[in-house]
Amino acid sequence: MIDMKRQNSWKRSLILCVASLGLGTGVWAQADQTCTEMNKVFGYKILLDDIAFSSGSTDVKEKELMELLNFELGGHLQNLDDETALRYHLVRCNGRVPDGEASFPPLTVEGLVNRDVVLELWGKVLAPSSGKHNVILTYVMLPLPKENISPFLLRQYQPKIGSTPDEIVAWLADLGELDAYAKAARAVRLLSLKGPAAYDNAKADLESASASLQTAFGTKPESSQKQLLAFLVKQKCEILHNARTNPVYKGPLKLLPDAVVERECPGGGL
Amino acid sequence: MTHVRGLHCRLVAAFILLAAGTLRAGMISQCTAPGMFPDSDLTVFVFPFVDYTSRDSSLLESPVGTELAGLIQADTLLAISRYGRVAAIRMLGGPEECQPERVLGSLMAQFGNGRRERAVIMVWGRIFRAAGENYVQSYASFSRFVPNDPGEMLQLPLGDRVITSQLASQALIFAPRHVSDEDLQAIRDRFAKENIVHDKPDEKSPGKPLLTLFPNQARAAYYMTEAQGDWIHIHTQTGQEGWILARAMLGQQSLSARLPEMKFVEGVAGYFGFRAQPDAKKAELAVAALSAFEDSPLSSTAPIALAVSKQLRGMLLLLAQNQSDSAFEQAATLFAESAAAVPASSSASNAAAVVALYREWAQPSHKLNFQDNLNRFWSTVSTNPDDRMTLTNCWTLINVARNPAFRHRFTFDPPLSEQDLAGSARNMEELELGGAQVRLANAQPVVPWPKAH
Repeated sequence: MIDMKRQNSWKRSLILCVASLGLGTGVWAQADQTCTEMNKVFGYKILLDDIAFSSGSTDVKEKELMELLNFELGGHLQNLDDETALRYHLVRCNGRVPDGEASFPPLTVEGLVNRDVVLELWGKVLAPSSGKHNVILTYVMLPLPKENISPFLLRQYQPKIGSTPDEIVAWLADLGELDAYAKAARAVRLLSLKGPAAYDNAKADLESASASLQTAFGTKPESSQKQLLAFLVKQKCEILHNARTNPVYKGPLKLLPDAVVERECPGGGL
Repeated sequence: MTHVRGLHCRLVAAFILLAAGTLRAGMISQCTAPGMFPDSDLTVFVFPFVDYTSRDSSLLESPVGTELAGLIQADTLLAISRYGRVAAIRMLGGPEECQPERVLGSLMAQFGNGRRERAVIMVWGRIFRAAGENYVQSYASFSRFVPNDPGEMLQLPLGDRVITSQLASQALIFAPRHVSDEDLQAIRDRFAKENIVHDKPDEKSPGKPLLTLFPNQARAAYYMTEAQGDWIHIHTQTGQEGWILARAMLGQQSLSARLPEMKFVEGVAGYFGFRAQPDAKKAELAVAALSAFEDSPLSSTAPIALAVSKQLRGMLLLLAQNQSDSAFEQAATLFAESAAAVPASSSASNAAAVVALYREWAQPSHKLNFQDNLNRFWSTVSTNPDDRMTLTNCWTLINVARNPAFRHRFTFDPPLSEQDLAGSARNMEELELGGAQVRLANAQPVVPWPKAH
């Protein structure tokens, strides 16, 4: 059963998060804000930075959309039913708006990784154009290896303008990506920390992330999305390969029949 | 003396209702001292929805959250009353004491020694406000009323063994639904109407508030003796009776149309009602309720609930049709759809594999492709290596295939000797999960799945 007590505390933090977002107008591209809140939380973390309005906070509809977005992003985390040691927690970083990749020099990344941050995101809601809203979010998956793939992923969403709140909520509920990015990053982190002992959990995380992101990216993923999907497949295939060859690992993946591995990773997939 | 006679009459009435197998009961209970009808096959507990519409409202018991729970409880009682010995209980109290897990623990301590077949559904939720708009979000969980319930299982014979599957989840989160300020007011207005016990099933007939029927802190418990349209007739434990308007409406729409998760809860209740006392009509009603949930726009935003709904429909079809070939044919489609709805769920894909394998096995003249069936389970293990149930199914299939009594049921491509299969089984027994040797054994459900013919 879901940890209901935890949910209650989640609900509280979520509402506080949304309330605080409602009060702040957000400033785009402020430099180097720290987020001391992350030091108060143990375990894997997702940092939720500001989501700013480019057209000011007077547009009630946009504000509503932003609040709903934050509400949903937090709500997705409640779906998780992981074992305690693997759970991650949403940390609200009020006033923090990174300036893209420039805000993540190696030392900063190292600091975040050392604090068990697996994902950071921020974004903005642009003025509607051509009959559509524009919501842009940037996700940073930590610590995706920079030499293989960019840990930064920019996503643009275009919910229909004039949607009823129900429709917007339904659209948001379909988003389902936050969990996927966090799981992808957590898998990489687990593998780097624990090696073979993490194969089983990391494989499950990667499978879940892949399934969610394939749905989210649709049939025609952009180049960066293709890269991320390919990275996830590569990670999965590496695990399968290593599980069958590393004598330290004694879990179920080492017994997978060739046909199953070949279907998942044609030609080895590496 | 009068008191004793009244008590005796009530006990007799309760006994008659129980003996007839038609106990349908309601109660209003404090979270700090929760009560239930221990003999009910199924009890739905509805908790006050926590109100987050203002900064401090979530710290206190919310009037609108409590009244929404009241509407859901009465409507649920009316909806599930066709499923046999059922009860719907509205919980009262602040958010701190009304945590479902805590209340369930307290109930278990008091009433947990009864029949293990009893089931509970817990419904709770929150009301949230974002930039002037209100949203209601519901949560539901269901289980047998025993500590550490392993969950509902579908177990099918394979040779001298069984293969096992379970639901994708028994704890669900539904997407938030928009409710306007007018809706919230409508909840309060409707609750004010439903909270009145009338002399007749007519709003104009004389009536009084429900809780006034329970003076001197008597437990607010009542039996439902009859339903008439939107009304239910109740008989209280304090010896009074009357009619309650039970069908919850928000304006012109039913509450269940606005909150389709109520249909999901109704379907789950029907499943448990059927398992307690099988009846084709119950299965039909439960399947209809689950289908209504699946057809609602909400289901597309709650893929796990959608998958569970399809699995439950499949299980009900199998049960209602005595696990006939045609039932398995229909159920196999539902289990496959369930697995497709949540591709990363090993429970859902294992269930689809179990049903597909059994369909083949149930045809005595049919030879099963061993490797294809085994690979299907291994693919599921690859999705979630920690899934012991699927691992056990893999191991079971290997052991059945190596048994000389059943070997002729399989084709082996590539060829596999008995020694090969024994080696495979042994390798599986030596696997480790989480640093410890895996124990490959079938989980035992609280209520065993009926034997397939």
